Amino acid sequence: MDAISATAQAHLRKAIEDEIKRSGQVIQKLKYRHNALAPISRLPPETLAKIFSILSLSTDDYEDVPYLEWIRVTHVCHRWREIALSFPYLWSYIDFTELTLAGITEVLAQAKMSPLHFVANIFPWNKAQLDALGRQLKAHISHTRHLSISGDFSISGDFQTVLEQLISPAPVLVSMSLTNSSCPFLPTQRVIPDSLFHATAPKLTHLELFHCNIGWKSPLLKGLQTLKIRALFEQAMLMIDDWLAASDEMSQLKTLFLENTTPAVSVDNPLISELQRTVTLPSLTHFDINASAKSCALTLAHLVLPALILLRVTSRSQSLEGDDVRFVIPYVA
Amino acid sequence: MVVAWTAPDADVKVHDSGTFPVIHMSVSPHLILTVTPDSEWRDGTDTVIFDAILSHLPLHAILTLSAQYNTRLSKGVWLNHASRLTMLKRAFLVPTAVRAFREMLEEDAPPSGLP
Repeated sequence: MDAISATAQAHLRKAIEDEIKRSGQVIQKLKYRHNALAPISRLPPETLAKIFSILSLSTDDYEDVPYLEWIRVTHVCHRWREIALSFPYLWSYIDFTELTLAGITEVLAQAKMSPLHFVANIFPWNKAQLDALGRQLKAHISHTRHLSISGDFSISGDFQTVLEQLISPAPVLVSMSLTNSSCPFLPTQRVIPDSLFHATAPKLTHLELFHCNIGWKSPLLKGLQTLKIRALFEQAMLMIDDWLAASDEMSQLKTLFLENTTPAVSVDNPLISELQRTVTLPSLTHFDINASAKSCALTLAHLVLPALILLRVTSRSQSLEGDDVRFVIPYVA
Repeated sequence: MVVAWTAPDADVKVHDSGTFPVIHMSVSPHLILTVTPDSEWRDGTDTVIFDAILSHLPLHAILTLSAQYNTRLSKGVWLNHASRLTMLKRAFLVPTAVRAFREMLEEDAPPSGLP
């Protein structure tokens, strides 16, 4: 009798649970229909997605807005969640510093093949983290549009290896920023390898490098519209011919910022007076150069800048009486 | 530091903002030239450099001139360039520059007398 009763009770419990479940589903559908009557629900999915995208991409402009804060919109209602999940570009901003490895995988899965914006501050990462970064970059570089990596490249595992393993083309990469914050008194060893992206990044127009060398013969420099390179010390071995050859290939350049990245000159260097070649940068509108006075003069002497809107020259005088500044003045007036 | 604008009175607007740092400038300048010594200069070198810069700038087109911070311009510098400042309507000078300016006027006073 007790056994039959127990079986009957189990059936009854199951029936009630099913009824609760069905009722829940009915209530959910009623809520869905109720929400659909709200004025905002008349907005097409594309418009809502656009609004969500403003939230999702605002991290750069409003640093106090936590990364992925926009995901809260997916908690509002079923429709908003469905829309957020059905527009992959909303998930395209990937901040490696803010996400766990599982989180990165999940966000990348939502982003599908939309153009990605990768950001990472790799200080102080260990080898496992760097390996994970390398793997994801390798897997997704074909649809990465923006890449920004900062940190102490000298102690954060082997970041150089990460770069050396990125040998696939980056066909949609538009901008890249590498900021090495390692000790300024250490020599700059971090060099962008010639094999990076198989030397193929046809849409790369914006390149920023801080304390991270690139060869002036790198094909990545061609086609740039913005180039910003900062080194902490002048590169005594930089040859003017190499520099001019590279400049000659950058006819689309609009903004050029060079700090300690122009050819350094010895005190008795006759190159300025024996000028044999100039390079025209026809599109350059903003030029910012920061170097020794003679290096500034040498660089400016070799450039023709017809479209210039702003020239900013920050020169260091190495002469007790400022004689070297006289070399610069004719080129800025 | 020498800052030059192609827009008229841009330096006046900088004064109105109460700040001179480039990043706060309300009107984008055309030229910003900053020169600093690696170690230190012999006394008076900054004045010599200012003199050389003024020699190369198109002073004949300048409407307003500001000398900020502790700019030191000697009477000789003013005398060197005064004849080209034909369009100058207003000069805003810090005390370290105004004394030499007055000395220049006393030596080469305008026909209508000193202001």
